[in-house]
Order: sequence, then structure tokens, then C-alpha cells
Amino acid sequence: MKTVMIVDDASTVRMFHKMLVSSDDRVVEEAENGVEALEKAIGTPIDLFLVDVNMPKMDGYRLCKEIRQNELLRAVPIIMISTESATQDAQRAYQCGANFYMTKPVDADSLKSVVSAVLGGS
Amino acid sequence: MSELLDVFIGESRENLESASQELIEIQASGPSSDKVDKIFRDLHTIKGSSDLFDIKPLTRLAHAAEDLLDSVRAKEVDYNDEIGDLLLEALDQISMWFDELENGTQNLAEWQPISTDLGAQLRAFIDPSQAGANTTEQTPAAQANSSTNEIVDSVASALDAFDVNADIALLSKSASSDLYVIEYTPDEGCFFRGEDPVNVALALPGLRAFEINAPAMAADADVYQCVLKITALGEASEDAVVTHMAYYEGQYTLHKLTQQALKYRCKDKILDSVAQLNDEALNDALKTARETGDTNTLQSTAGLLVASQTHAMPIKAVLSFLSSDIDLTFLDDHKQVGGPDDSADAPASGADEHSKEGLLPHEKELLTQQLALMSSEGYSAEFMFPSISILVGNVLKQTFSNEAELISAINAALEDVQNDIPEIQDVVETTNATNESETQTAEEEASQPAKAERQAVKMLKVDQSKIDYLMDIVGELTVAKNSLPYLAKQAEEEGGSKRLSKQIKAHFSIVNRLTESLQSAVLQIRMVPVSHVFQRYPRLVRDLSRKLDKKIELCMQGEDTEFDKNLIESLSEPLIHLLRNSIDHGIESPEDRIEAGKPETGRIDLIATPLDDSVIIEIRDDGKGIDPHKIKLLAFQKGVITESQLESIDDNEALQLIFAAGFSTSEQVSDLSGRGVGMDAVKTMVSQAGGTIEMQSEVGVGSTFKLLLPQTMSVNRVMMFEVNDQMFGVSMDAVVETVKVPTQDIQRIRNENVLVIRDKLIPLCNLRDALGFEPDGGKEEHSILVVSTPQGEFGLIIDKFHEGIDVIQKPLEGVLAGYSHFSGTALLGDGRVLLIINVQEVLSTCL
Amino acid sequence: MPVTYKKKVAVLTGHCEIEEAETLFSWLTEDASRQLNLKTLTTAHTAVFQVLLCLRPKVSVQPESSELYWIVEMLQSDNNKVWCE
Repeated sequence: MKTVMIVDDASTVRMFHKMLVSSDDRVVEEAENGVEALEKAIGTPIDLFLVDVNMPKMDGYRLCKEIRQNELLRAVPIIMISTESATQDAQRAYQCGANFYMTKPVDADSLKSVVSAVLGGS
Repeated sequence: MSELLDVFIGESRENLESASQELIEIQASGPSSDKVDKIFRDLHTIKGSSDLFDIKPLTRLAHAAEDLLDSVRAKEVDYNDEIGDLLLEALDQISMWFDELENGTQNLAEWQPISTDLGAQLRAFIDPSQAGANTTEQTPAAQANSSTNEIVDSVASALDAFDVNADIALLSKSASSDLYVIEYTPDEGCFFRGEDPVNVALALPGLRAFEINAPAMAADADVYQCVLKITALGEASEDAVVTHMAYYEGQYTLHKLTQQALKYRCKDKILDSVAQLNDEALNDALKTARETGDTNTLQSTAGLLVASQTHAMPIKAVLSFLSSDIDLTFLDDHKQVGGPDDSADAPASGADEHSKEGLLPHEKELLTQQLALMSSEGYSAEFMFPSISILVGNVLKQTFSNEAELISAINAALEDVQNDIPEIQDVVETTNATNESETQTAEEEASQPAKAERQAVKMLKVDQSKIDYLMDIVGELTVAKNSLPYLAKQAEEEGGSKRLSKQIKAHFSIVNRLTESLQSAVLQIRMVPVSHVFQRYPRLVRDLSRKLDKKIELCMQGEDTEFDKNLIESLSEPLIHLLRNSIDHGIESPEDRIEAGKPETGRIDLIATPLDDSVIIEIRDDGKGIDPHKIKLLAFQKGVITESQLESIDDNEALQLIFAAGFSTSEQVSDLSGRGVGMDAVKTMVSQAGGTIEMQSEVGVGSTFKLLLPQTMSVNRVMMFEVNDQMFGVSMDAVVETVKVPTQDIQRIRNENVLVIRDKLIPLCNLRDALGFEPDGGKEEHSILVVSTPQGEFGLIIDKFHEGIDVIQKPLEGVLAGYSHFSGTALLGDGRVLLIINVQEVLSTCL
Repeated sequence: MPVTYKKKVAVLTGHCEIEEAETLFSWLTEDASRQLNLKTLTTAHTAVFQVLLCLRPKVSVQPESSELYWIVEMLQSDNNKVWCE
């Protein structure tokens, strides 16, 4: 059983991504912002973060940094999903510790396959 | 997916609301980066989420607004009220579209031009040079390019794909500036939806040329599968094409270009063709035309050559273009009209779709990226290695203990699929290059102490209908609970068991307490701060005052006062009414105010104050006020009051007359002061919510409307009484005392029955009369319920007192709704229905 | 009956509905030498045009209707490209 945490302030987007990512052998956790994500992640083993960039309270960049600074969470891969397609946004994401960067709205199939690959599924 | 849409709309509405609130605050108190940022985020969310649905015009509009805010945020654009107004307009538009989406009445073809127009206006602020540019330029295809002189690559390649000389041919056939290329690939199954693509394409507005790509069909092919690809060139506005293609959204790509841009593109070809023709007459004519602007000779020469019919298509096209009425200045314009950079669509490394077995494209992409991360300058093994090794391990189904192992595994995997290493190297290098410049800022940010804002209150969003249902159940429970005393009475009277009766009563007190706590708990859930309604008003005041050229400041207090949600909503409308009145007729124009020695800006105060179980809402303006004498006179003229009342009522009472039904219609009142329009409606709404309304006014100083409303609508303690063998209730709040007096104590003064209690004169009202029952003569003793009203204390003559009881008051429905004598009904424990008297209304008919 | 099938030639008349496409297609594919008479054809559904454009059969009589100039041009030339007059 793998756990994916979707962090996005728009519940619509969370729902959509959840729909794409869900499967029998996966649990999906949701968080509205970085703060909530970190809180929830402490008690639950997470296998992958899907992180939005623009969020109130704690944005995606910051969240990435926090995850990488945190010894318990450090090893969890992060996929950043942003509406910004500009190169410098991707670069910034990578600097902050993201493992992969995708542009919103994500193509349903690519998100599915990327998530499967990262989780080591079939 | 419709659930998704619901969630999207619900959420986006919140974003809209919060964005417009911030905007209004900005307009009042100037922009602050916080607020701009908040609005930006709201719009960003709307844009992002809307992208999930096929509502491109909305997405595009939100995008334009977001971009503008981004520029404001980056201080590239100075915020001004015009921007604010436009943003508000955009928000309104989006909100209207949400309405349509909710009702399922959306018409994307109608949205399109609105979106384009508003979007262009918004973008004009970002880049004023674009202000005059053709608004239709803002299509997705052309968006990247602002200049009318440029042809976007995608358009150019679409044109070229159609025909090498398509540009010249189209130029020679077009007269206006708006041109398009449309690539229409009907879905395979489109025939089953009743679509008829070829005929749709043939009917395209301003169609100039088209190509139907038809692959050869095998003998066993399905003829009902559409395999055609249509490309069409034409001359029409984007709107026209989009409207025409409205039903085929998603099946076509529209490229937009201007004739001007086309001319620039064709410039060299035209000159070449003319040179190639080697026709002296034409060459000379062209030269003269370019020098002097006299195109007559050129036109006729070219016309002659076209007629000679001997030329190849492109030359013919050039000639026919030259022979038309044209402006040739572009031929001399040497400004480079280069295509835009095409770097944007450079394929991501490893995105090779046809990779062999082993790694899938996205897996390659993932690995390449991890490799890039590890070779980047800011790479820290401590922070990044764990996640990278897990990710790569998952992809390759291996485990790694150190970096060297990991890197060689990735390289090996990528090499397996013959991915060229230089490409990866490239990626690594570019990543490095940009890293250097940004590492510093990244570090700065990292060094800032983490602001751990913790969410203290966990909010739970619940559908209101669920709460309403809970409330209903609590209501029924209350009623059921009320039957216990009856039961106790019965046990005692019929069962003869005092002990049982006592036990039931003891139980009743427990159940009673629990029900009360449950009730207040549910009521607490339903409580929302008045800001819920108040927050809409700054916008209203601002809009209206602008319309009327008045300067008005709205000051709100006590926005956090809590209120039952239903009540608050029923309040919204009367409050709007009152505010409108204050703005429209209360506050004077700036000139008048200066003349009267008042500050130029008028002020309206909206104040909510909790008072016991009620809330007082005041709307105060410092406008011109109302003259009670004029009100009195008018009321008399309209037959609302009698001549004797005209003399007897005091100023305060006179002011309350504006609430009387039939007091005013707009024309008559606007002559006087304008007040009173629909005030009776306001009063009705307020009393339906169980509240009262009063007004105070001083000429030249201002007016105040004071609404007293119950904080919760649901549980009322009522006093029950009997008239003509029927049970009625009256709100316990109104009851002052109950007295029994002998008939001879009732005195008559000026045709009215009055009673003196403790030296106080109390007018009496016989409820038998007021409620239309037969008079009950010859009683020796009367039961009198003394009630208090804003007009003082009154006595109601009734037949018999009963106990007080908690009821859930329900509004009157159906035929009964017309009876203003009653404010509502309640169900009794034994199943009977209790009518609750509206004291004020009853008194007004009886006195 | 918008399509009349004769021995060598099928005659298309008036407006040809989508339903004709299937029969027309199999009739034409049965024997490559079969021809079409489009003289009185006025309009047709895309599915019918698709059969014409994909199979490119010989046309014995061109349509009289000026509306159909494009199909004439397309079937005569080697590409399916038409500039409107």
C-alpha cells in the first residue's frame, strides 16, 4: 500500500488529481497548504508528494524545502505541479528539492504514468 | 464529473467573493502588497481549476486578470481605480458565468467575445501599447504575439502546410484585415452525433480556400467513421468563426492572422515574382507606385497580365493582388518582421515517443531529471540523495547505497535506450547555469525562520440542508418533549399514580435540559457573523454612489456579531433597501453638503450590536434627514391617518408612518424627500424575521433606521392563552404581566377601553373583536394580558391564560400567509397547532 | 431514391443522405471501373463526400450545381485543394 499526499489549495484540483492517482493499492491524503501537509505527514508514512506551487500559508517551494530539511520526510519524492510553465519556475522547484516538475493542467495520462513510475508500480 | 464541477464552482465562488472584497478594500484604503497578493492567488486558483473543464473563455479571462495582478504585484503596473473597476467587472462576469454553469445554460460561443474583449482591456493595462491593438488578437493561438505585423509560427506552418503559396493566394483574395486558418479534424465518431463536417466547413464565414485530406479507404473500411481532415483559409473575424464552430469545440484549431502581417510575409515573394515576370511595364508601374503612391498604372498592368492567363498560380496571385486596390507602403518597410522564437516548443529531452522496450518516455524523463538534479550546482547529497535514490530505485526496481552507483545505473538505463548523452549533458548545463544566479536567493529564503502558522480551528464544511434537517429533528424533539407534562397529568388523573407522574416530571426536566442544550448547540452551528451579509455592502455603496456622483463612506461596526444563517439571509434584502434609500435620498450631493457646511463625503454607519438574545442593526446616515411634518401631511393626504391623528401624533410617531402600508409610491415621495419607497415591504420582511424596525431622523442632521432582530429564529418561548375556545400564543418577550380585573374597572376614555394599573393608563384591545369572534358579553371578570410594544404597553383582553411553552415557530404558509395578525404557527405536544399572534399587527387593527 | 444503381454507373440525385454512403461504398469497391453520374446532385452528407474523396471514382457526368464546383476540382486534380472563386 502506497500513500500519496496531494497538496493543493484548490479542492477541485485535489479532487481531480485524486481521481487520477487513486487505485486499489494506494491511499491518497490531502492537504490544503504546506502547513497542513507537514502536520499530516508527520503521523503518516508518505510515499510521494504531489505539490502545487501557489498556496496560502506555506507555498509549494517552501514546503519542498521543509520536506528536504526534515529527516523523517527527506526521502519522499516530490512532484511539483504548477500552472506556471516558465523555465525559471521549474528551476526554482528543482532548487527547492522537487524531484520532478509538471505543468497544470496536467495531462491525465502523463500524471498517471509518472506517479506509477515514481511509486514503482507496474 | 459534475460533482467536480459543483466543487469547483463552490470553491471558486469563495475565491471570487474574497477577491472582490479585497479589491473594494483596496479601493477604499489603497493597494497593499498583501491584498494584491491575495487577489492574485484567488484568481490563480480559479484559473488553475477552471482549466480542468472545457470553459476556455472563463479560463482565459481569469488568466488575463491574474496576469494584470501579477504585473501590479511586481510593480510593473501602478494600481489605479480604473484597474480596480475593470477587475471587478471581470469578477462579476465570471460570477455570472458560474450561474450559467450551475443552471447548465452556458453558451460558450456567447462567452467568447466577452472574454476576448474584457481580457484585452485587462491586458491593455499590462502593455499600454497594445491598447489599440485588435482585440481579437488575444486568441490562444495568437496570444503569444501582440504585434499585428507578426505571424506566429504555428500560423505560418499551418499556411505553409496548406500550400507554399497559400499566403500570396490568400492575400490576393482577401479584402479585410481579419484572416484565419482553421484546421478541423472531425472526430471519428462525429457522424453518429449528427455532424456533417464538410458542409460545416463549406459554410464557414468568408471561406477562401479549403483542403480535404482524405486517406484511401480499404474495402472493409467503416464508411461511418470520419477520416477526413479539413484545412480552410478565410477572411472573417475570430468571433464569427468561433460562433460558426461552436458545436465543434475541441475538434478544430483556429489560427488568426491579420492582412497586414500577411503582407509583410509576402513582401519578398511579391517582389521576386514581379522580377521573375520580367515584364518591363509592370516593373516600372510598381516602381512608380512605390515612389509616388499612384497605383493606377500598376493595377491596370497587373490586371492585363492576369487576364493573359499564362502564368503559374503564385504569380497570378501576386498579379491579382497587385491589380486590386492596395496600399504598397509595406513593400518599402524594412523593419524586420521575424517569426517569434520557437524555443518554446523544443521537445523535452527524452520525450521521444518511440522509445524501445525498457524505459517509457516519461520514465526516461524522470531519470534524466534526477541526473540533472544530482549534477546541479546547488545539489546537496544530504538533502536530495534519499528521495532521488528512492525515486530512481522505484523506476528501475533496484536499490542504491551511494551516488556513484545511482548515477551509473541511470546512465546505463538511459544508454540502453540509446539516448544520446550530450542531450542530457545539455540539460545539466542549462540547469547549472541558472542555478548560479538563483542559489543565492534560495539560500536567503531558506535562512528566514520558518513561519509556522498553525491552523487552530479546523473548519468543517457541511451542506446547509443537513443542518436544517438536524434543526427540524430538534424541533420535533422539542415538541415530543412537551408532551411529557401532558403524560404526567394523565398518569395522575387517569392512572391515579402520583408516583408515576412525579417520575415522568423528573424525567421531563432531564430531557428538557438535554433538549435545550442540543437546541442551542444546533443553533450555534447555524450562527454566522453578520459580516457574511455586510461584506456585500461596500460594493453596493461604492457602485451606487459612483452612479449618483456622491461621495459616501460606509463604516461598519460589529461585523463579528453572530446571527442565525437563515435570518441573516432574510435580512440581506431589507438592509440593501435601507442602504439604497440612504444613499439615494439621505446623503446629499457633494455640492449641497459643502453648502450646508458638512464634510463633502457623506457617511453611512452600519452597526450591529448584540443585545441579550437579539441583535440591533442600525443604519445611520448624516444626510438631510426627514421632516416629520411633511410625513404627517402626506400620510393624511393619503388617508393613512385621520384628521384627529394628524393633530395628536408626535414627531416620532409621524416618522414611523413611512413604514405604513399604502403610505407611499415613488413619484409622490420623491418630491418630498424620496424616503418611504417600499418601506412597508422592508417592514414586512423584518417582522417576518421576527424583528421590529424604527426610524429616527433630524432634519439636516441625518436619519437612523434601527432594526431589532432576534438572534436565533427558531426557539421561542410563548405564552399560551385561550380565546373563544381556541389556543393562541404570544411571544413571551412581549408579555409584561397578566391581570384579572372586574368589568367595572375597565374605563372608557374617548371611545376607547382603558385600564389603570398602578397609576398607568393602559389602552385595551379585545382580542375577540380583533380576531373576528363573536363578542362575549356579560362577563364579570376579564383576563388581561399586558404586552409591551415600541408604542408603549397595551392590554389584550382574552378568555383564559395558559402556561408558557417552548416552541419552534414556523412561518405561515399557503392561504394563511396572508394573515398578518399571526406571525407563525407552532406544533403542540398533543398535536394541536398553535397560532402565534403578531401583537403589533393586531393592535393596529384594534386601536 | 437519391441513388440509382445501374450496371456501370450510379446516378446521384438531389441531396444524398448519410445512409447512402454504405451502399455506395460497397458498390464502388466491388468493381473499380464503376462510375458516377453526378449531374443532378445538389448536396450530400460528409459521409458521401468522404466515399467520393477516398475512392476517387471516375465521374461520367459532372454536377450541374455550381455549389459543387469544389468536388469537381478535387476529383479532377491530384490534390484535394480548392480556392473559392
